Amino acid sequence: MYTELLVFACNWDGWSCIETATNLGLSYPASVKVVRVSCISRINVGLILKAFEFGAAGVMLLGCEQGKCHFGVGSEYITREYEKARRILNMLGIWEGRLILVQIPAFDGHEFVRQVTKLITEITQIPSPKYARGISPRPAQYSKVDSYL
Amino acid sequence: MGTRTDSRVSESVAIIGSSIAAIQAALTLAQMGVQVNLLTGTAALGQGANTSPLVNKCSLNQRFLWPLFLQASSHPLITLYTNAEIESIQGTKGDFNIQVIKYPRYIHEDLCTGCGRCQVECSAKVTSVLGGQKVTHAAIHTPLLEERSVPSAYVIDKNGFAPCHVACPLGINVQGFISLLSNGKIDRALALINEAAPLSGILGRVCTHPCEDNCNRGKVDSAVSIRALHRYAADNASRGIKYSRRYPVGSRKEKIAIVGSGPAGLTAAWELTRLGYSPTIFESHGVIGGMLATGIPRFRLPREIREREIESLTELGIDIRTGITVGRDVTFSYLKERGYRAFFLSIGAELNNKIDIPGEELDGVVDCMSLLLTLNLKVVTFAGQNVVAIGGGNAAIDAARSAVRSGARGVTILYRRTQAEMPANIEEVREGIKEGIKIEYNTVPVEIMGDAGRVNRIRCQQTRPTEEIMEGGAHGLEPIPGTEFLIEADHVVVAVGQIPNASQLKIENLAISPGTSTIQVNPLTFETSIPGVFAGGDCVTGPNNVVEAMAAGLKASDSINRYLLGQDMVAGRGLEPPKIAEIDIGAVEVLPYERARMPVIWLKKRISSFEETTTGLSARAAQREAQRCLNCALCSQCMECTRVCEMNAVFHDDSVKHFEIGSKVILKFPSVDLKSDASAANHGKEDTVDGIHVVSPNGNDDLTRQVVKGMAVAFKTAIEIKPNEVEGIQEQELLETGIVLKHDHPIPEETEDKCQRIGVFLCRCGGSISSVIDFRTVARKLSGLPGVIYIREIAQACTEAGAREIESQLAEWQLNRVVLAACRCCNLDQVCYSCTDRRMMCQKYLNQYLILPHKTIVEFVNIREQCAWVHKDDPQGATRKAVKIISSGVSRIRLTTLATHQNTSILHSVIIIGGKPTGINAAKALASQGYRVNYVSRGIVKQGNHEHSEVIPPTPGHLNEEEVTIVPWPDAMELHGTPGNYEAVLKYGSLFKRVPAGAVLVDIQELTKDPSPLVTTAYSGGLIGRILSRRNNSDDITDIANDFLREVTIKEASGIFVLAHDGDKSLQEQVLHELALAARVSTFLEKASISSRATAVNIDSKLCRGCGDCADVCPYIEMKGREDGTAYASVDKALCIGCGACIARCPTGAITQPIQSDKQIISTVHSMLHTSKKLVEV
Amino acid sequence: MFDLQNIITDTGIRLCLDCGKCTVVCPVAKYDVEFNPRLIVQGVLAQNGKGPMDEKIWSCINCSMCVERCNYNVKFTDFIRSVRCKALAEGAEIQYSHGGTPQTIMHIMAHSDIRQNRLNWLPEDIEVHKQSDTAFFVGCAPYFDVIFSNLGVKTAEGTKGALRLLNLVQIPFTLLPNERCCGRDLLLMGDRDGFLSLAQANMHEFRRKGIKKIITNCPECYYTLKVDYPKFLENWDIDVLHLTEVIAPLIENGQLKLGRLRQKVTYHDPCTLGRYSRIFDQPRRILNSMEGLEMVEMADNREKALCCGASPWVNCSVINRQIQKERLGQAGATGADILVTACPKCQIHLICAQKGSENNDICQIEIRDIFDLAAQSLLPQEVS
Repeated sequence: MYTELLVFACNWDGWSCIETATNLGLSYPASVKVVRVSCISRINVGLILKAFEFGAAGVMLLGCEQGKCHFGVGSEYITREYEKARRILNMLGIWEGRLILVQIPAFDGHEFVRQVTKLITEITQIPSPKYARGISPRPAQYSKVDSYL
Repeated sequence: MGTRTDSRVSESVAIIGSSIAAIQAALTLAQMGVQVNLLTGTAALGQGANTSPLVNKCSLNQRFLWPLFLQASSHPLITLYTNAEIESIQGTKGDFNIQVIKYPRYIHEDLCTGCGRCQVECSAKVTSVLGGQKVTHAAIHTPLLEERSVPSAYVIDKNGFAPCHVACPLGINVQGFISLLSNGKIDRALALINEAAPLSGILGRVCTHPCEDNCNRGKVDSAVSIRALHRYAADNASRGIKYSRRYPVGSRKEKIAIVGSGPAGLTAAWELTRLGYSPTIFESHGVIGGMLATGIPRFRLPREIREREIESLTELGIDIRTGITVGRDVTFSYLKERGYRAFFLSIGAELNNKIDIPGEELDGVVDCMSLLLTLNLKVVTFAGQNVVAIGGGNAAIDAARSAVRSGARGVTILYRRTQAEMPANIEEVREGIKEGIKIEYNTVPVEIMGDAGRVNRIRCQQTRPTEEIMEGGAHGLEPIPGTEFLIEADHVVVAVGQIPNASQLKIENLAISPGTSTIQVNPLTFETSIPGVFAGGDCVTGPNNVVEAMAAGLKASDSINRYLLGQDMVAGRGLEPPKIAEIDIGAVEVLPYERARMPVIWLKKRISSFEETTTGLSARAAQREAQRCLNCALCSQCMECTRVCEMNAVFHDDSVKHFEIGSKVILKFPSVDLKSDASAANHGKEDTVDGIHVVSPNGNDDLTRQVVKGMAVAFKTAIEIKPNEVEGIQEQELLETGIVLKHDHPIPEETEDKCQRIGVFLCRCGGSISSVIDFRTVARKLSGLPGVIYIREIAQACTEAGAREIESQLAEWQLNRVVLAACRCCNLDQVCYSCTDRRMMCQKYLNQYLILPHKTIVEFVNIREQCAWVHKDDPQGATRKAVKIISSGVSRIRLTTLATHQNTSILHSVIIIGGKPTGINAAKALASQGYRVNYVSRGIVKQGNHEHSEVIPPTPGHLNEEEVTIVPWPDAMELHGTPGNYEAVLKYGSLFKRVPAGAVLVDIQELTKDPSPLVTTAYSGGLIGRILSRRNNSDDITDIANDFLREVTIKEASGIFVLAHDGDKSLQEQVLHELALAARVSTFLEKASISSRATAVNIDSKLCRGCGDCADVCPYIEMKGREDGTAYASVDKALCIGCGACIARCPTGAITQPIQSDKQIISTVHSMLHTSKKLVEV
Repeated sequence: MFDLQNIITDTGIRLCLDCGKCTVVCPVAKYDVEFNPRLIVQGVLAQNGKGPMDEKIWSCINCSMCVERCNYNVKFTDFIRSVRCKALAEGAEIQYSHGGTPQTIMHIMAHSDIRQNRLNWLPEDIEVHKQSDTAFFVGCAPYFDVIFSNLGVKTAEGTKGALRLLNLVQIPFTLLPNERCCGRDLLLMGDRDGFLSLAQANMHEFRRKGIKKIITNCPECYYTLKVDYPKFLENWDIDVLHLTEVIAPLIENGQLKLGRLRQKVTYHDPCTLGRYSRIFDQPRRILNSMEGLEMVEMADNREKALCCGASPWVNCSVINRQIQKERLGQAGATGADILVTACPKCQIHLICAQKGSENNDICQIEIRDIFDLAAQSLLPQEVS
């Protein structure tokens, strides 16, 4: 089953985990795509929801541990956006578990792979198949009506 | 400013060592504009340093050291020599000459991408000790084994030549083919053997294997059964025997005649053919192979095998004429007339010696050669008869064993000496005895007796040695009287040696040794007395073995080639043996397998037929046997790495290099675990040599201390080698009037280009990427993307060649934007923990060839670690993903705008606020470097505990000879300007003083304490307060470590430095920290200019609603007011560290980044999540 | 799709006399000299609808002041909406506010297979009649309260108040668990497809539940459902009411008596409820019916009421903030304790403007929803 997973990774500890995973010879499904940002605090609700709008089945926010931010401040801000996004997803009827915030130590390739795999299994095990692929990437098409505009 | 740097580039310092301190010192010096030669005894930076990157990865160590190493290894002013040692040092301070030995790495550091394909193929497993425990790994490996390293280039462990390899007369790489067999690579094993010699099937059976006699495994239990493995390779290769050629057939026209098709002749022909000649072999017999066909019985060397091997030679194009006896059918002179320019005589030794006793003429007495010939080629029977063989050589044994197989009732061998002296191959003798042969030692025949002209028995007599020693070292013999006895014999085989029949050749003036009647040759070149005529094999040595004969063939053909090319016959053909690997038997991994026993057919079957006695090893037995090899030479030179490396980065013949480098000053950093090494030993002596400093190691130095030490040493060295010049006059005026702030106004660059011509380049990375991702598919899918006009794959993007190739396409296709899909993953001017030296190199060359000269915008997509490498097991998936992530790169680059860089030059002056005595010493240090220093002091400074600090009267000017100006403590202070161009406005009542400064050093405690604190403790208020508020706990050491970190990784440069507080540091510690701080300040001031980083944000003051959310997350953002009372946010781009937190908070989108803008992130996400079907339409 | 002639006829552009009154009353033009409705129209006509659109079209906040003032009823707001459609279709770059979060949510809602879970906020005490053919259209308040939680907006309180009032007067209603955004913002910013798919999805939902009548407290939803849906959807036959239209009469004929609230309040007319829907009196009647409540008017009110300064979550800048500042200033000048509005968006935008007041003096008056207030008046009051 092909589960489109989008990872917003911070350039520092987050990115290093992904790199280490490769260097340790680990592997994860090719459906996992990584978007690198200078700091995870760069990401906000808008960007997270965009990922779901475009059809991501799951989104991972991967950043430095609390208080370990390379810029000294970042790791706290993401938590607020994460909470907001989860509440909105829930309201939209998209299982909020599709969004996770992972803040792990640098170079922990094993943990990264563990988290990715966990998320994918959880998503694929959501009872209602309707949501299993996330929402379809384009809005449903409707018949054209009189051109008032 | 520029001139300052230039004047320094000429200075050079040599730094020897690989500790953190050494590397930090190198980097600091380089950043101060000094040329540095960094010599490490190890293959990688930091290897064996006491703060090893191997330990606790997530710690600051790993996060800090890695970027540090990368920066050092890639700094333009640092030249790195790995595996380098100092031979000697001549000269004096300011003009040292250092003799350097560089040990081979066998891998080209610039070419190796570290893709690791070689490691997978490497068949030699070696053991080394890592962190106290034994690890087994491939002989080709990364310097730090499982850990990443700088440089990342692989290394090969070698240890001279394996004894087996050296012992082989043919120079077959025995360890090589064995290690290949141990990995089940039979074809490659045979190919490797056939690089050195032909006829494997024959050698694998009858070779006298000197290799096994020298095998180190013999010292453990018993030697590896090399011959059996040789045979296994020959008999089991799936693609049969395919010989390679060095030159195409017929590329050399000279005609060559080879006389005799024995092992020597065939081998010579083989070698000459591979060299491009077309030699002709003349064979007097009807069969090809000489002794192989006539002398070695079928049960040892089956006919099919012989024919198979010879066929493989004729397939190679060797012309063999049988039934022609040179000297009888054709003459030497005739052949010369027919244009034969060179001759190789390999006629063997076929003439049998006689025993000269009565009855030798009787019927039933045969010589062994004709007997073996008959038995080999015809069917003869000795049914129920007695056979007696006379002699102790292999011929006698072969004759006897053949007789057994021909049905003889009793077979006896008469040998005149003891068992020990018997020259025959012991294994053969044992088998013979098993087969029922009786051997009479110390026995000679006296008379062959017969009846009616036919032999029926032999009278023998026992012998004993005499005192006399004959030539050859054997004792003389004398019969023992009264020991005569009779033996029944229907047949007598005389096997007492053969001699060559050289006279039959009828070649005039061919020198022949009188006694042995062998042909005389030069032992090195195999030339005979006649120019152009060469000889080898039994006809030169007398009866000998196959392998020696073949070796002679090889050497002779080399001579013939040289002769025909008119080259020197001897050059480079020394007889001295190469360095034989020495191993510590105790230390090596030994697999507990016993030597494989060669399976034989059962006895009954043997004596009733000529079927081959041995049947060869089974696959399993062969592999086990191969695994018994101890890999004495470590790397087995099986050449698998060379085969798979697309970059041709492997150089097995790399060797020790000696060269000389000059330097003004030498810094030695012996590392703790190398205490015993020379540099540490004569510590004392060198310390006295002016200009050579040994920085004594300290086992319990933690990372921070090592870094501090490195910086401090660097700074001291800089003082030592730099002229103590003060700033230029114009700069001084600037300081005195001190009003104007110097700025270089940026030349506005075009921020968007209408027509985008995007080129996509896919890096094969030496095949490590292209072997997983299908570039054709990728290219097809990408071709649909808008703006993409050119897609191309390149071998390796991270080399100069790679960058140039891209540049050439740039011109041809007028590309203005380039998306490079390789291993580099960002176009930011930073070094993160994940970066690698290859990525740094890639950026370096692209800057050099694309970005600087052509202003090309380059976007990177990592398809190596992020795709090919991690999805090896799913090539289709990886290809799909590659398409998506590369197209996301394309969508990003279409939105990338050229950032307008504001380059600000830097004032070479410093203001130090408080901090006694730290402040004073930093002040003096900096002043000694020619920087203008203003020291804002709270007045009298008296420190008891530090004798190096002194009393300063409040009256300014005390330190003036050091160019330090004392400024009294103001009532209030404001800091304006930007990094490198600050201006401190000091308020004294109604008056105020302006002090321009490139850098600001503050003692936070002084700054905030009463009376008249200059900054409120909350760090609010004013620029300096806001900048300091980034640091959560004032002058805590970890904070300072984090400052280092950001200085190294993102080159954060606020130009504001915090004076570490003395605490209870020792005096020495104190000095170290002061110098380190001075070094940091100095490296900051030495920057050519300050420019905002690529991720620095823009704030659109028109859009900004002045809500202040951004200022809440970033102290570098300042809320300003408009005339109409509304507020707006503004940021100093030089300060902005580009984290982007403000963008995420901004409600209006007024804050943007030229790179990583919302639009870019969204389009990235969009193209990543789009189905690849849709993609083409994107 | 974009037919200039149609638009000209529909919006009566030709009737424009270039008198410039629109520009005079335009709150945007007041703070942004570069913004000029008349010139935008002329620009478009001059190019005959071709070529790139003047990016100023995104600055219009659709407050309809110009239409109100125009003697010839030139529908400038409709015109802007049409040209925005064209610009967007031609790939114009919009400056989204709040990272485009609201629009993204609308697009996600537009998906046919979405099954929302949007009634969590509904308190126990509110009684919903599942079988009723009258639906209460909640609108996006629940989402807003999350998106703007950092501003501390409580727009859902207004909705709760509204439902409590309906329970009180025993008007049965049902709530649609999978109701979508009405799509007004998408329509205003020119995303016609987005709007259509939302409208269709809602239509489908109404049909499925057999809805005959819709009551809502959100002026935006009200106007969109009442005025726009019939234009876009075939055979639309649903009766749409704004809650004020339901409540006010009941108060007059004494069927509903609100409680006491000793407060001085001023009422802010939301553009969509006032100028667009001509509902001016009902809200005021409701407020005045509260015992002890003192009602004061701002300098600009009713038809002339100044907009809360917001565009449909696009192109928000210091200009908008200045409008908001002015509006809040008017509120402050009345000396009222509370600014009451009937629109969740007015609430959000005005509260947003009050943020960061340390940077510029903006009136910090309390901002409440009319139904929130009304319902509060009915709560048992502490004796003071």
